[in-house]
Amino acid sequence: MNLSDVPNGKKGIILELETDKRLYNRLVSMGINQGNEFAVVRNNRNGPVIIDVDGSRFAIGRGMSKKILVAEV
Amino acid sequence: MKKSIKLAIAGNPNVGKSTLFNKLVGLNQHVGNYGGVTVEHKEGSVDRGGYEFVATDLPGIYSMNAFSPEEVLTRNFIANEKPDLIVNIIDASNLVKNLYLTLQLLEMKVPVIIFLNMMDNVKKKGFEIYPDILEKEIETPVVSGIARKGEGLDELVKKCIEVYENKPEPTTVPYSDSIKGYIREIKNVFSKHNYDGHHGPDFAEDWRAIRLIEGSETDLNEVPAEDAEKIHEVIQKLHRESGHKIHSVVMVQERYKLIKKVVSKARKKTETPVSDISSKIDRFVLHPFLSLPLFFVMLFLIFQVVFSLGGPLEGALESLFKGIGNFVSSFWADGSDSIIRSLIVDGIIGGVGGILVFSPYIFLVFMAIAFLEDSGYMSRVAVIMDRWMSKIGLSGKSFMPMILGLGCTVPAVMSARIIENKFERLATIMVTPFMSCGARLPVYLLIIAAFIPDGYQAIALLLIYLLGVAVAATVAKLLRLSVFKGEANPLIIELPSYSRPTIKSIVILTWERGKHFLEKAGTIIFAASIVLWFLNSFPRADVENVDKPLSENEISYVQAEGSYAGKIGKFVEPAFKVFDADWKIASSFLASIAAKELFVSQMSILNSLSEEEDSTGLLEEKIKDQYSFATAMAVIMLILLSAPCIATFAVVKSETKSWLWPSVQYFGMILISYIFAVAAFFIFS
Repeated sequence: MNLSDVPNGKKGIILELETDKRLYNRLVSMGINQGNEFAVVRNNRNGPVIIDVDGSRFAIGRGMSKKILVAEV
Repeated sequence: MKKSIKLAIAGNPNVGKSTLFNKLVGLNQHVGNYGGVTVEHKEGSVDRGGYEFVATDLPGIYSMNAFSPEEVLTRNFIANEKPDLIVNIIDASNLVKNLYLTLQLLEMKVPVIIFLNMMDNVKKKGFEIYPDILEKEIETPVVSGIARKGEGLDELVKKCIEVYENKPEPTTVPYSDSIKGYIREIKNVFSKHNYDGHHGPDFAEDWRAIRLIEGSETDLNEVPAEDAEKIHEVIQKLHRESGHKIHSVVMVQERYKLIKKVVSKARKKTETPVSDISSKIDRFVLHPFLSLPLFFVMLFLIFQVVFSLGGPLEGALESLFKGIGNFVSSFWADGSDSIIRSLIVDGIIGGVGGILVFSPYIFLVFMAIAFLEDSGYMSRVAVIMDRWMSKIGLSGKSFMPMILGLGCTVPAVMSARIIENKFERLATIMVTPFMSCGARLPVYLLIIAAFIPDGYQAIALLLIYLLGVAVAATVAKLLRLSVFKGEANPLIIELPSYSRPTIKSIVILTWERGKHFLEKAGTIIFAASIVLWFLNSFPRADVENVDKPLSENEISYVQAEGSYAGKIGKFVEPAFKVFDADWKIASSFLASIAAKELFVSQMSILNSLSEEEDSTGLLEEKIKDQYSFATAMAVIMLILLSAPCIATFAVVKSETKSWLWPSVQYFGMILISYIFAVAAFFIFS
């Protein structure tokens, strides 16, 4: 499953970032990295997904969120 | 002589970098809450503890991969300026993310001091942090404190002096032995050759080895071919061993492995975190149904404040400039037609003053932006609007500049700085003037009052504004499909915690940006005012040798008709004849290029009305008598969609650092407005 499939309030772990090198580096430098846990703060069927990673909150565009493979925990 | 310590402050966005900088050097600047507000770096110096500190506030960045202008600036600054030390400020409540940049700084082998900021937030998040353990684990000096309250500052200064005097050997990042081995192997390849200067400063060796492991092609190209091959072999071996497919992954995971190890020792979970206020506020602000209405209420309030406070201030400035004009006039005899008097009073005071009267609106809009940024709401706006903006090839970050364009284009264009992607930013700047600004309103009001029956005026006005929005959206989409082609830049944005903006920081930011407008735009407006004055005043009309003495209004008319401006108006009249307009409209349109509302004043001059008269509705009557409904609609298209005012041109020039884009915008918009004007004429006639 990918990040856009995780419902509101659920927690998960990031498995894989299927992006180009530039976006990969951008995501990991912000702490959105493989193996990191996250909680979904807001995920409506439209618009960006908002997640909490180690106390920081990020909004990730919907298209981008589909490239982040995750597992629910 | 006093010893001087050159230090640079580096860190993630929103960790209190500018606050620390201000507290340290005492120079006051802005603290923004929105990722990447500090695009230019700031400098200041101060005497502390018997040393002179020369400090640089570097832009907020997440990494040193040189993908963004801010990252390039930081890298180049550290490599070229060689600061004595780097104060790496990190948010103690977000250790993991912040330490990533720390490691990359340490890889450059420059002396780093870590300032653990926001220690007061750590407890709230349910953690306890041990700075001494962090210091030991990461082998780098650590000072903890709260920059906002000035806590830990003296200790930081002391530590800086200590590090500066002792000049300890720069830390080698304690990565795993396996990675260290590979770094050494690559460095061995370097050292066999003694190649020249482009090899960079001393610290570059470890760092370059790491960059090669990360798959940097630029670094590989700088190495002699023979070495490159050997290095390639080493890296191949490393990848086989690690099992990662993508180059950069190895180093990234190595860094995080170390960070997790360090954090697990230096940070303990104490209790469950208290649900913070930010999440509670976000429940409303980012609510699926409430977010949009809330945003529009906010926007409405902003415009309400801007226009209700701006109006009286504009009036006050108007009378001020009139007063100055009258005062200067009084040095000449009554009715004197001195050229110098006319240049100073009509040209400079009238022209520059005519634009400066709008500065209250500009400053108020800046103030509202500062408030939204400092409170943390601005980044939420990007989130709320991203879904809609992505349909026109832009991201949520483009929304705010465009909507601010409804107030005044100048601050709107400047606020586009928050967009990192160059093409998105250019596309946003190019279309923002289509959003109908406040200065165009007097023109609409005049024409609507003359041609639209009472009950339909408000809806007509709304339709004009919506047309502007639609054209902006369409042109943005077209630009993103053609000139500014590029993959849509996905929105990845940090949402900082909400905080109460301080009056001080709002005032400082408003003044800094407002000053920028006054300086940059001021010079061009000044020059343009003189040009326009010249076009309107020369050649001088011969009003002496006429049969009967002329009234002042008639003199103005004769002067305007015979002037270069009038002549140009007549010269381009054929283009305006297409929609049945005459040279008066042409000339007024040319005047509106300086500032849109000048259309109204030029129309009154050309219709031999004095200022007092046009407010009584006489101008409306005259317009109604002279032109058809279809022509009036064409004129509205011209005012709505045509070239932006001089101030906008000046700001677009300085924001894009190019003459090309403001010029393309200028002539492109004239062309577009003309097409719409002709189309409107044929539709309505």
